[in-house]
Amino acid sequence: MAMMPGPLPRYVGIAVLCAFYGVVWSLALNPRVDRLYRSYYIEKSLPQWPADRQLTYRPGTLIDFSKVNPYLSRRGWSEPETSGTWMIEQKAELFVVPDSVSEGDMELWIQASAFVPVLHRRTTVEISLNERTLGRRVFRQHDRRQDFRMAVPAEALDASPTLLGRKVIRIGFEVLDPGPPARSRFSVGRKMLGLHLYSLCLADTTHRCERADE
Amino acid sequence: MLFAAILYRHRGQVTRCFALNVPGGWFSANRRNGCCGRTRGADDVEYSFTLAASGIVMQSGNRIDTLLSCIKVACQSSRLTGDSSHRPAPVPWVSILVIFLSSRLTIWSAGYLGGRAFGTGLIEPLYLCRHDCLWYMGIVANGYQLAPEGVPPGSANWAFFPLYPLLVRALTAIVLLDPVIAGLLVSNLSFALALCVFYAYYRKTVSDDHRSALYASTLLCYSPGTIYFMAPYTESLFLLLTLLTFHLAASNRWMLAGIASACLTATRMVGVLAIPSMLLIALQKNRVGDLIHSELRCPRLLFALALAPLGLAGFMLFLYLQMGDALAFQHVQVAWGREFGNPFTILWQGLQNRDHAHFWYALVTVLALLATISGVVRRRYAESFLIGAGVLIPLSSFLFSMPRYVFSLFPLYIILGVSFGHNEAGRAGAIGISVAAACIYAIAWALDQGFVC
Repeated sequence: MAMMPGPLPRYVGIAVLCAFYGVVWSLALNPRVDRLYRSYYIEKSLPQWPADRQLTYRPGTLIDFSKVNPYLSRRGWSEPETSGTWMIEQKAELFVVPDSVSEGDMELWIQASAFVPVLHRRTTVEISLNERTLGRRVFRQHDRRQDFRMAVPAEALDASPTLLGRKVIRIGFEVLDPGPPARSRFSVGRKMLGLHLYSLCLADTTHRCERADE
Repeated sequence: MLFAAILYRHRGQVTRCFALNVPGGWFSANRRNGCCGRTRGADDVEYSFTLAASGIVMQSGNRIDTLLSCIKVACQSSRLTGDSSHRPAPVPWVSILVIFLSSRLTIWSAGYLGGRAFGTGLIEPLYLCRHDCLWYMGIVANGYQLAPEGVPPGSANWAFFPLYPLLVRALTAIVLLDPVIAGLLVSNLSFALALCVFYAYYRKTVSDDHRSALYASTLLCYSPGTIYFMAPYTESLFLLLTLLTFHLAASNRWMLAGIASACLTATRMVGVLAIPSMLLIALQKNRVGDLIHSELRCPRLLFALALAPLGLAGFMLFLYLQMGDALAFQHVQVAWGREFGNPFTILWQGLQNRDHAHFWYALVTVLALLATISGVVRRRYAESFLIGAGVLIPLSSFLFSMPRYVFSLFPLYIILGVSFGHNEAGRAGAIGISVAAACIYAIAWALDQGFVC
């Protein structure tokens, strides 16, 4: 009968292998990737990989949210309705790849309303661009659609990650005081309703926004 | 420590005879029976045992002689010679080779001629390199990408595991072959070896009947998805390594089983299923208490289980060093629209789909799930687990390509072999349907139909 090695080498081997797996797993939990990669592959918020001009946007053009468009993040939005698209989670994003970006400041034009729960009396939405807060907008009960502008400083635009030399702009919306319709007995589901976005436009401060078909 | 010679009986015939180091605790339970007796193992196989030197607890000095005499006595009592009883069933190389070559020729010809007859253009003789083969050839030629450059946008070759392209690349470098030819060689050689292991495994664990084992091997050869075993895909390597893992584990050769499973996890993601499969095999062969006792003395199974994820961990480390994300192989699936969901919802949607391809995928999946249940009923737990989990994991993200995943799971052919093995009409019918389906698949492949990729 061949001499069998004792259990110690195997126990040592098992310990070494487990330590190696621990190291690999910790690396897996902390990827070293850029913002764009994280958005598309890990967080799965970027709707499409911004190649082949799929997310291309001409600054100054109005994005109509009653139509299907590619800019909405994978999560956080309802299907388009006749008037626009609802936020259905506390956070939702837009991704646009402008075909040109001005050197200076720009403006964000937004047409929106919001769901305001009866008990809340108001809904506050924080709007950011490339994770830099542009401002907050408060919607009260019985408010109709609001048209407003927000200044976009050049530094926020410069913070855009680039893909093949093109900037990817990330516009974020966050409801700060979310109130699901179920709480006001409008619905029995857990669905969240926040901002109702009609249209949006990113433009130079010197230009007006136009519809794409104008 | 006691020694015992164990006779393995199947349908009243002594088929194998081997010696064991028997833990004292286990044997003492049977010792009342005297120096000879019978017991039923955890695997429900009847063992008869002969206690060496009539139950004398032996010292280390006389182990070898006593053990040999023990085997001799035990084997003589069953009119078997010690030498022949140790050998596993011989593999009929010639028969396997004939089945292998004839099936490859039949399916290739069906694809080539059918493609020319039904297609609009000429079919190249090397029409087998399509779909994922192009990704593998890209890895062979240029390695893994640093950024996503594939179609659809965002896709990259990180999704493809490294062992197969590594073997192809090695063969290309050594023999200076064209990568596609080298890929075909690796795939077909792996499949030929897999057939031999499949035959041996079938005789070892299912039935010692040569005809039945050869029939099951023929079913595997003419599987509807056999085109995947011919093409430069990972399916045949995956099949070989799965079979090796199961066969070695069933033979208690845990170190080799661990190495085979480490290679398996470097071949495909579902290779990790080898880990619970090995554990199930060990639990089926031993009582839990015995297993814990023997593992504490010498952790052979534990070491094999620890070895198994090495292939996957190595690939993850490589991906981290290459492009910063160790889970890139999983994350990149989003580019193909694969996201986790409820597999049964996806299956139900497929069954309701009016598109023929989706219905076919769903039907094959249902058949595989039925085979899983059949395997459980037959108490083939490790194999049932392999089919069930091997189907549900890919199904949880997509129905597309399910036939490819299903047809590369070897227990399917064991269950089919057992189901039709004793019925001549059933055998002929199953082979006939399988050959027809394999030819249709080959023609669809030659015509570059998307549903077969």
